[in-house]
Amino acid sequence: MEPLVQFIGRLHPMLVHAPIGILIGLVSLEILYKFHKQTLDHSVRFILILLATASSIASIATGLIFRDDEGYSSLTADLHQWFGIGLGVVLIISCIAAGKRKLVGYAITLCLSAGLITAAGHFGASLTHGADFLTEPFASKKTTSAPTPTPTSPTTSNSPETATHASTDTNSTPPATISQFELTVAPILENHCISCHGPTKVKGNLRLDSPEAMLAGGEHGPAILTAAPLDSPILTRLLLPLDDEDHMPPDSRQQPTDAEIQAIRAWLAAGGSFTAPPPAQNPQATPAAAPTSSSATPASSTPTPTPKPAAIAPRPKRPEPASHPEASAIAALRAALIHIAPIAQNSTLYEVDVAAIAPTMDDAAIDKLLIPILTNISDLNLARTKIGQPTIALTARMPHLRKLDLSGTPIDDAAIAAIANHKSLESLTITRTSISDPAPLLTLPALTNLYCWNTKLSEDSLSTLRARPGLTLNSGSRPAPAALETEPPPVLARVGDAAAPGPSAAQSLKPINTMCPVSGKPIDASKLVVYQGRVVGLCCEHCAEAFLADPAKYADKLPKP
Amino acid sequence: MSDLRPHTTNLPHPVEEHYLDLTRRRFFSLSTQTLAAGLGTLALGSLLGAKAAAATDPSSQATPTQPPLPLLGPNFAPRAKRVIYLHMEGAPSQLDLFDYKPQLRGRYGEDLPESIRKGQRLTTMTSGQSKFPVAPSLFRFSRYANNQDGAWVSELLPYTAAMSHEICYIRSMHTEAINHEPGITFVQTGNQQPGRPSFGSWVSYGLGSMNANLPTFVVLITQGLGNMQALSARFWGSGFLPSEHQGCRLRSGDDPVLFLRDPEGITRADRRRMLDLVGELNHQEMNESLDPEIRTRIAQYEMAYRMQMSVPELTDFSDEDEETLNLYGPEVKKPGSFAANCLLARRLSERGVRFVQLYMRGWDQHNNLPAEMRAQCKAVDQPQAALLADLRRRGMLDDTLVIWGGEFGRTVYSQGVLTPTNYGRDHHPRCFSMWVAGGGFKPGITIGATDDYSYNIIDNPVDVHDLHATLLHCLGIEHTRMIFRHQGRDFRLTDVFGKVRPELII
Repeated sequence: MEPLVQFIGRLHPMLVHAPIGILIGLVSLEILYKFHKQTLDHSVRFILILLATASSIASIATGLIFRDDEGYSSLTADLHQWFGIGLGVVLIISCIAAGKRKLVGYAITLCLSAGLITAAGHFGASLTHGADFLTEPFASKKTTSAPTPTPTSPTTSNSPETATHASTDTNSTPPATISQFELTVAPILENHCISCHGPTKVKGNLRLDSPEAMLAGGEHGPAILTAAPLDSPILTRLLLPLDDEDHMPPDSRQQPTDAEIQAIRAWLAAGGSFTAPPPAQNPQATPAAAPTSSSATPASSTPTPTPKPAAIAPRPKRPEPASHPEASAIAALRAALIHIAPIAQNSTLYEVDVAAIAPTMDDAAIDKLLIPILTNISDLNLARTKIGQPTIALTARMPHLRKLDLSGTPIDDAAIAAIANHKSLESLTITRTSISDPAPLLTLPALTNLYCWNTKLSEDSLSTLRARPGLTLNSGSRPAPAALETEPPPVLARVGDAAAPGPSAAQSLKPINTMCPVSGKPIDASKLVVYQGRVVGLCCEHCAEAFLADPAKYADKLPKP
Repeated sequence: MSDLRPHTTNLPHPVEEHYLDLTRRRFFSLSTQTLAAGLGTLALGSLLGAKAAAATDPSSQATPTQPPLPLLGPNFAPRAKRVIYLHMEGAPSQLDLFDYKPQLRGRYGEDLPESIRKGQRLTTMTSGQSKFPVAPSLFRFSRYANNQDGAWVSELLPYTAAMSHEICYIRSMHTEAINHEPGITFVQTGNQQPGRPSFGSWVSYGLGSMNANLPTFVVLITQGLGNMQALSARFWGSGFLPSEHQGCRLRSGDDPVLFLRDPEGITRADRRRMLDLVGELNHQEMNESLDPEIRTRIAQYEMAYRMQMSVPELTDFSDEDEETLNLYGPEVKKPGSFAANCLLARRLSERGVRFVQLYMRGWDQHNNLPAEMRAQCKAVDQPQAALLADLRRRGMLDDTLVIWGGEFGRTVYSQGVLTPTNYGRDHHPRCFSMWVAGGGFKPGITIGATDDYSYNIIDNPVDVHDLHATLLHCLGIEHTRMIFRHQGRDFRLTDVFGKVRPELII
């Protein structure tokens, strides 16, 4: 469309207000004069009706252009158009009637035109603002409690969560029936495209609100190319620079975030199917893939977005003693420099840590302090103290004891036997003790973590303990794991004919030579360069530098291709 | 969570507060002096202690060595009780350590595409470069088993890589700052502007001490082997929090604390009498001026007195067995080395020190990166892996957060001339890698991803405030509720930002 024509079309939204205003004025004057039993001056009447007629005809003309330009195609648009044209026709008749002073005809047509302009105005407003524009404030009050499945707001670039909003919003993995398209792409189209390429507007004769319409395409062909999904205009137009006139969405509109573009790319890379399920949640991209294209921008690896739990998993509530310990008991512990504090605000469970004075604490010293608070103890750190059997025996009277550290204490098998059958103990540390008997440890029903590095427990005992279901045992003997795989030695550089097809870095790189062309020594498999598309091995970094500085000089020392 | 109380509730008007404080202090001052006169022999220190305790917990009585009480303790039952923060000062290159980019292998020397850089700001150190040649890492990466399908780590960190099953790698950290001072200030205090309390100070303030004989927040520094940047003491300052929450730096030399021993002719009893006298004078002044810094001064004198006894035992490694010393590597016996500081950090944590802040300097590889990184990584790799393994086998990793990372990342393009064996990298705030182990972080996972150039984040960005919020969550602190009012405004570590990230934690 010619820009000038387009410009004239766009005057429509402004022009339409002229007949409205003029007609309101005219009708008001007529009623007012009628009320006062007077007659409106003919020339005033005629000039006003003439102006109303002229401006409505201008509105109709511009409106037809505007509709074509913007691609409105809905029943509302049709109604708006025909009511508008009807208005124009009626006003012309009214104008003639007024000119010929046929007042009855003039009055009828004027009333009719008032009705028509109301209808045309209503549908016009519905087109621009939506059918429920006026009633929306009342309706939204009722529905705010219901969660909306669409993204709440466009995200900024540092939180590309919209790509997976459906899964985060619903707080569960999507049911198998939801396709990747529906899950990740449809909401983006809904947000950014449908307003101009959907049921109300069909710009460029393209609709993006159904798979069929996307494949059918518009003036410029299909939006999705099934043969080469990644070349589909729906993606390529997104990737054009913002100032390119083919860029979509237009630069005046809100742009999709990088994450949203990535979601569309990922969907197309997976084939662009409308029905395929989302890929399995696999956060590790396969790093072995090498870039295949040689353009300046390699196809970005598209990692599957990390699965995001919607909320922090609540932790099971623990039973708690009914009351806090006596204040004097707490004060006595603190006076002895023993740390005691509730494990959390509003909790009657306490943690007790004797670290500050551990080496001086023996059974007699600690027991008299602990006895008044036994029922409140949850976590007890007695590491590096001199305690023995009497203190361990006290644990039987600690019904809420969850974590006990006895590391580096003189406890032995006889002493630890007193812990047998403790009902609530979950974590026990007996590192650097002389314990050798696993029997009492096997009687602890709640035990999930046992730290027994540097004890006298035999390999057999450790295996017995390991076999206990639900128990994680750490004996400190874990051998350092070796790498599962190692990437091939990286090529230091590529020189020579850049167009020569080089080996991909991720493939096995086998040098063509065994001796360094610079020094004549055997090559080092990690000092490789690619020259004229062939892998050349060198013996050291210095030779690599020398070779790269002037490869032609050493070319004849290499095996012939 | 509605039953959680914030750390400060309904603060009175500052003027009211002042008069309240005045009355309260006069009262305690009077009553304790009467008491002292009555008992005659009771040392002043105990009165000070009693008063300090009374100020926070009226129900408790105390003695001279009474520890400062936690202000309120955790909001909810925490996973972690302690923190060891290994700060890599200077910002290590994510491209050469954790952010594996095989796609770059074939792109040596190509210009960084504008579609990646998008005109973003650079430092003035490279903004004048005419070309931005892509420098793929010179180092080979290997995949190590974790609780997902493996973590790719560079050959520079073989020991750390072997601990991947304990580590939560975050490859999508990003920050606002582009230079070291604001960068470190941001990761340490939650704000680029100096003057806010350090992370460790907040934790000290919120959770208090677990060992009355040692500071709650300890700082250890290792000198780097590469290009070093200034390390200001304010990084571990307490800002507007009471000064007893500032980090206590232990020296890197043979004597971690100078002048620990009393001079000849002075006995421990003499020292006590001297402190009591000074304390009395300080106390008079405090009652006159109500300056909280005097209270801090009294507390610090008492702490120093107690550290005379606790520090020699702490820093004496002779009770460590040979196998443990070997675990930390050959440098463990060299005071101030990263290995010695890692072992010291473990010993501090074992003794209930809430927050140990280690600094490894020298990660600012603007040029000569391969050689400097080799040296830096060699210095940290074995000790930090040993720290994890040692904490694990002692049953401490479950409730100790070990944090590793710098203040930002480094660029994919070379600063200065790129050769096949040498390159440099400039500052890059848009993405960098950190890791956290233990303390309720998910073990053996990798979070987040960057684009093929490790330039922009394409999946799951984690900003510094989010990390702070999540770390505080592990410590049982609701980050929106740990508040300190200063100059009429409520402050938090996360200020008005931060989200706890459930995907990072168990």
